[in-house]
Amino acid sequence: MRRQRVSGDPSIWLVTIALLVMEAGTAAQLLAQELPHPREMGFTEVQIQIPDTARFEFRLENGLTGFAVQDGRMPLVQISAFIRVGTGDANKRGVAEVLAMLLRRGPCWMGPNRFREAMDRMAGKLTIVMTRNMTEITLNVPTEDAAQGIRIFSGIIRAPCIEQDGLEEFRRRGVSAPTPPVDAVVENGSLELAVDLFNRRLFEGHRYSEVITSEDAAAITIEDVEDFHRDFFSPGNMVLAVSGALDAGALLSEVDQRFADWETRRLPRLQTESDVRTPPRATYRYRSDKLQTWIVIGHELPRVSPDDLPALQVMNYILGGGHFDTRLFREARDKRGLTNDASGFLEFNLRGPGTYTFRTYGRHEVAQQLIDLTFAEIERIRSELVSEEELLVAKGALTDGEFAMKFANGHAVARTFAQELARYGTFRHLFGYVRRVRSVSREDVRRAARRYLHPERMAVVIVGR
Amino acid sequence: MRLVVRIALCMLVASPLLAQRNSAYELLIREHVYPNGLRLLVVERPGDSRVAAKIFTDMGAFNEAPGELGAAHFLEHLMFKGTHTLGTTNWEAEARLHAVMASTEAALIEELNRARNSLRQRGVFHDYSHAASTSRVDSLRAAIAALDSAIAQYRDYGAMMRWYQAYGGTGLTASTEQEYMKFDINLPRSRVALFLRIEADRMRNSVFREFDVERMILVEQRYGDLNRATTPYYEQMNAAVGAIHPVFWPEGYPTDFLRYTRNSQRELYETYFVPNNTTIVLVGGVRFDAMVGLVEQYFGWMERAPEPTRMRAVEPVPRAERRVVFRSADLDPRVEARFLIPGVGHPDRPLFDVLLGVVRRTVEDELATKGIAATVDANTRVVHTTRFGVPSSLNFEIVLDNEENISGAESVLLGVLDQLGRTPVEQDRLATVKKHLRTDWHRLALDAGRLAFEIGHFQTMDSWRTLQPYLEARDAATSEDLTRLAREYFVSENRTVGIVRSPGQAERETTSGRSR
Repeated sequence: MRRQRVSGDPSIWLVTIALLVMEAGTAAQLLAQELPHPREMGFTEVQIQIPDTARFEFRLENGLTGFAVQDGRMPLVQISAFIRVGTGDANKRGVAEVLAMLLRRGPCWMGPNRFREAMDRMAGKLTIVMTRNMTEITLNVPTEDAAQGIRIFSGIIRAPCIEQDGLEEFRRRGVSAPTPPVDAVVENGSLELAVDLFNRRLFEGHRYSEVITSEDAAAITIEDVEDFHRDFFSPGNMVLAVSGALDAGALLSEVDQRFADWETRRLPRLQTESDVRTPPRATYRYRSDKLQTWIVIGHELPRVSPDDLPALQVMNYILGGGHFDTRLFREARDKRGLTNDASGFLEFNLRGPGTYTFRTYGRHEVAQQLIDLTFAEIERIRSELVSEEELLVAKGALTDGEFAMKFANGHAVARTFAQELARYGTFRHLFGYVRRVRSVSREDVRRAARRYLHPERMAVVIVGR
Repeated sequence: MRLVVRIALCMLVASPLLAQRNSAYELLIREHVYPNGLRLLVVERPGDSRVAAKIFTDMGAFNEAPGELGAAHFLEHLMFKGTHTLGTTNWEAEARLHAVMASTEAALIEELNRARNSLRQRGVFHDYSHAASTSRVDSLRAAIAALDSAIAQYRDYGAMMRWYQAYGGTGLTASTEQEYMKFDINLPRSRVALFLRIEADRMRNSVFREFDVERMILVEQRYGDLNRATTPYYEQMNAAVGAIHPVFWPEGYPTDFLRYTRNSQRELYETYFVPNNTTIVLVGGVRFDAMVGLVEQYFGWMERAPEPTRMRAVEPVPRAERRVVFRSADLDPRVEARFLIPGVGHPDRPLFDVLLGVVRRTVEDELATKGIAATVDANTRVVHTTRFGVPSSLNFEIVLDNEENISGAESVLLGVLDQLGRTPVEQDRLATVKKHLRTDWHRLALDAGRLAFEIGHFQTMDSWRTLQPYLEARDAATSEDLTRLAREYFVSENRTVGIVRSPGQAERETTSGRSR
């Protein structure tokens, strides 16, 4: 059944309502208990205690650095490596992706079958995430298997199984589908597909393009993958995080045993990539037969200095930062019922351009309204100062909320320190973050909006009808 | 240390090493039940700077009526729209408009009842569109829309969320499933009072604003589900597995969403959102004794209400095998078998968690031996949830690369289930599966929010006291237990088979492997 259309002249009803309201009198219910407004509950500023990094830091003679943190809440041990390399660092397209796939086959001395069996027996959980400039490998195992787990983990990093059959598998499964022409009918319409199409358009011809053709895959050799691994997977180019229910000495002893004899290598030269610039506003439409239309609006995000970051994050938090009370959410969802979500996404890369996108979806007939609303809110935050209350909320959420969660338990502490050191080589930004966020002004927010939001050259990707 | 040149030995987090523990599942849950029936459950984690806080209400889709499916979920949405104290700039003026809204809606309901014969569904298929209206219905709806616009002038949107965020709240969300509704937040431990203040307000003073706008959000969410090709298939399977129990009902359709009224929603709210139907769970850096007093301050004044009606549906004993053949161009071919299993609180339920892992691995091995390329999923999911306090289903699903293998895969699956009732499970395999369950639990319990959820969920399904024995029973499962389960439950009368084929492919019937 289609939604019934409301007919009748609302102005007539407004008069009637006014009369009825006068008759109704005051219907306000008395509260059974006086509830203070949250502002009046007397909350004092939260003191976010960042532990002293030196208490947890270790360094091997080969240059490998890490953080070992004991956390006995559960009988688990977790080890992560943050390696300063990603898909944007390979000289040949697809080489990094091949390595990421082969890492999942375990250490070469085990072979894929024995590795799978060992992981199953340990109930181990391996995750590998490779972004454009960073690779994170994490293994989580029961404490009783810590020694074996760390041994396997070091094997994955130091001696992955770079073999021809793995490369063949990549050629069968790792090749990207061709980019459909504009106006084409696409299967399986979704927000993920719209984001993928947006990225393809934005990074077309750029080193960060993640489209791997069958020709790209065919041109990759085993030597390419070995060279890539040797160049970037080295003690000085990564930071470890080890945490769990073992005392720190035991954790370090395991790490030492598995990594200390790894040869020091010359640090790779990490390249910085040029920015991309989106041309004047363009719309790319793709047709899909699903019940909704998905929309991605945005452009490139240049490298953001850590000093600039707080104002940008506060601005995005207010405009569309992934929670229920953003301007976009309120206008599109709460007031109009057009969509279940409308959010802004800042996606950074350390050594090259990222993206700043606004993503939403809804029934086909409201798609244009969603696009118009998104642009209207972007214009508004560029032209008007945000309110004091918006600023207060965003700062509280980013510091007392999101930032404080980075230190919620021992595993989080180890991970936060390792990630920060791998990203920036210093803790200056981490330790100054809360102070810098708290000092952001309304003018800073508007400046960030004007600097990082350029509606006149945002691309609009529409998947739907 | 051999080569470590710089180490500052880290002490850390003020929590004991596991070596000191007596059980693999140390659940130090403390309970306080207030005179008004409100239950408080606390797990202290000394040293934690934050607290995961959840409030569970013992109601959900079970409490919906046919024709208004999704009403409990919709109520959750309405409970984000603010209260008398948060979400309005002038409650006194706004309240007058709500009073008029109530009488206008009453007139609309009266008109819909009067015109029921022109509005009711009569046709199917080609004339399924049965929507109709009357001029008075249109006119009353216009009045309601105008009232909503008038109310909007007093709105302070987002206030229920905003203050949580301003004071460091993360993970703010809510969900409604068949047996519960819950609201969650994670806060700095010194601000737990904010949770109690907002949730007490939400529980007693919710105001249903933007009612008609919010209906469309439900439509959007449902469209999101229906965009997935699996949704209509799973809904057909659920309908075949259960004869009458609402645990198997779908989440509602737009036809349902348009029937909700403020009046019917208010009835649900007032019946179930009472202290004696509510559990608060706190996990983190708080002290139990302090929390008993603090919760008393915000909820203690509420009076115990008449006991809400609890779940009364009883699923009848199944009498025949059911088969669903679903034709779809969008889904990979697959074969599935589902069986009714008991709910949490029944001694067999934890054993099924072990059985799932054993069957999945065995089916994977058998398919590989026969050269059938497939992925195997074994789960207990119905709609979105995997555990219930009532009978639900155990699902074994094989997704195939090639439609030609449907018959072969069905033979393998039913053959494995049959064999399980006759041959003991290998001890190694059993031990591995149990280790996975134990380790997954430890990963879950590390996260205060997920642990708080499990405690509250068990309370709504049965009792929080069931949780630890449930986990221990999985560890104690024997090969003989699994053999017994297979014999008792994997019988043909209790089986629903699902087949997914492409629209053009002729169905090839198979009888092989259907031994029971």
